[in-house]
Amino acid sequence: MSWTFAFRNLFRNHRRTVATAAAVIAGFIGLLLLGGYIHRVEISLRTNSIYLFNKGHITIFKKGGLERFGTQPSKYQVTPEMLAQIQTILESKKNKIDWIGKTLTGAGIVSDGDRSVPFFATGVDLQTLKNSFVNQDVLNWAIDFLLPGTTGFVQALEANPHSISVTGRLSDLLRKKRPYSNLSEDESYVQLAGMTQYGDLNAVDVKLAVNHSTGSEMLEDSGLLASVETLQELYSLEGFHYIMVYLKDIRDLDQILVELNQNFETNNFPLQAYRFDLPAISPNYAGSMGFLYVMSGFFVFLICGAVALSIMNSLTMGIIERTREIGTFRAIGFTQQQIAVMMTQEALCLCLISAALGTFLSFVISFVVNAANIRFSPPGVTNSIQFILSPNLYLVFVVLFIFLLVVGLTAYLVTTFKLKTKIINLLTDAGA
Amino acid sequence: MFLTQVLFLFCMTLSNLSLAQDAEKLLKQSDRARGSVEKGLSWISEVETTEDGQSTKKKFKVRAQYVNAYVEALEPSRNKGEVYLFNDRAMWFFKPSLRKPVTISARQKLTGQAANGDIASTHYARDYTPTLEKSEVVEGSKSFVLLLKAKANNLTYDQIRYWIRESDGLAIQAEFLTLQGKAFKRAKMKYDNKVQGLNDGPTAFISQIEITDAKLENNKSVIRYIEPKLDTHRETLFNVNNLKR
Repeated sequence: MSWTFAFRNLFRNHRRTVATAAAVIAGFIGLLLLGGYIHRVEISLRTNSIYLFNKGHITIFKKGGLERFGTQPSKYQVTPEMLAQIQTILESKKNKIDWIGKTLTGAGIVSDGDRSVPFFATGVDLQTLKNSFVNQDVLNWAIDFLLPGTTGFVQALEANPHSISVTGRLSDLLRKKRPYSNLSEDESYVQLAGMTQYGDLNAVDVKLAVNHSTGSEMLEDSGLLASVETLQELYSLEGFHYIMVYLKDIRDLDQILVELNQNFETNNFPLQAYRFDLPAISPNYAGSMGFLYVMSGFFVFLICGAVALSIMNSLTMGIIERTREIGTFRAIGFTQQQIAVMMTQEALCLCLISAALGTFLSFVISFVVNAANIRFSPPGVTNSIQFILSPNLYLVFVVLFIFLLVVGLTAYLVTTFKLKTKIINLLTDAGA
Repeated sequence: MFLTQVLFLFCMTLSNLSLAQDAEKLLKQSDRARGSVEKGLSWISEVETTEDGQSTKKKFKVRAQYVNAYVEALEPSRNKGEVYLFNDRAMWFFKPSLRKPVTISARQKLTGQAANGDIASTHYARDYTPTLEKSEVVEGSKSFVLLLKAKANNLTYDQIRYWIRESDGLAIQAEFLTLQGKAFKRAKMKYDNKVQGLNDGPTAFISQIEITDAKLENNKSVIRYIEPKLDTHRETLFNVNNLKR
């Protein structure tokens, strides 16, 4: 009965109801679109980190390898024997695991016989490259991070295991004109040189195949992608920098991670597994998301503050307008609590209607913005990426919950405070 | 009064000019005992490195002709056939499996404390501008202390403090300095070799350089120069185009 009263009360003062609803709708749209943007960025960066930066959902290093592999690769490599142990452990969870990948990283110089340029190389196994380039999340969310032609690296590696992909800027530094298919056989070969685990200088011939982007401005002058075998040959290593575990469902991450580390500890294996989203594993992901979460926290505070103030203002006006009516309710036996609940219900009804309208408008705005294909270049990222808003039902419920909480609490507290007036004063309209 | 001042300034300029000429002369003289001669030379270099408690040994055959050098790895067997070619200030690395040689830097680490540029002959008079800093007694011998500043940025070191013995003009120790002037490596040289035919009589030639990390003194590389002798080399030996597969 009180919900019916509350709902009907919304139509008593149209102007005030519309003004309050407008504030709630604006706030709701704001939060939903902000959430939609963060959601898109989070999935893009996560997908980029897991599949295109080759970190996997879980990254396994030899203990200490995360910090020290760069200076002592032979000591901190994950050996083929350790890889076999990892595969044995994961055998029992194979229904949850998509595949296991291998990566080797290293630095050196790339030379075309006339000039040498420093590089930072990532060597990845063919299966990981194959699976990553056709992964549905990559195609849906991180396609902007792939240059046209980058996926051709898989075919190039199948044809010649010594093929490499370099960033556009590294290619320019080597003065190699693209596409590489126009280069003569001799011109397309360059030499990678690096220090082996014995401290010797070593070099291998490699063939320029395609270009890729590292997605990071800092690495764009030196990014090089090769097969893990090419880098093993260059650095005279048998092992890997780290092993990646790709899961079928990201929700299994925590459970598998805990089980893996427990297993390593129980069996005394010198290995350590990490989540992909740690700053030490995916600095790009962790840094960008940390910034976005702080920024969104600030916006949520501002928007909720504005909505709360608007509700406070509307309810105070409502109470002032309806002082005698409230006095009458009190005189016929309604308690302060009951009236406060009824007015809170009125605010909640308004909030629900506004939320429905706000959701509809948010999806319309998102559709228009996404269709407009607005592109931008975030700081530190080489490619331009599409500005996409992707609100979803989960976000709608989260924002709705926040709004119902803010609106309900504000309404209840304001009415409880305002109704502490004597009945006689309410009836004579002299004190509310 | 004015004439006195002019005369004084003139004398000072002459004196500075003379000091600079002396420093250059000293450096040229010391370079000769480290292979900077126009005649062809060859020797075997043994590089023994101790780093973090682990020791390694490498052996190279060096064939040098003034600013050119052809350095061939002999040991360990995994490095056999690898070649470092020096053409003036340019350097290449090559091994038989490569299509083309790799251009490398002289200051790049060869092994342990030794840089690529340390393995062949030394041409400090060509590459550095010397300043005579002071004279000092080192191991009982009066020595000139020179500060050498690199003339180009692709040299093995940016700055070197160099001790040249007064009695025989041989460089006996060096400090390799960062751009900020801090020592990061120290070297000591010995001259127990003699080469016949460079001058009238036998000429002293470097026999050992011990290069030590300035901070971790247990990390060091000792380069031993074995059987240096005059040799005739074909011009084509130093042609980088002949290294291609």
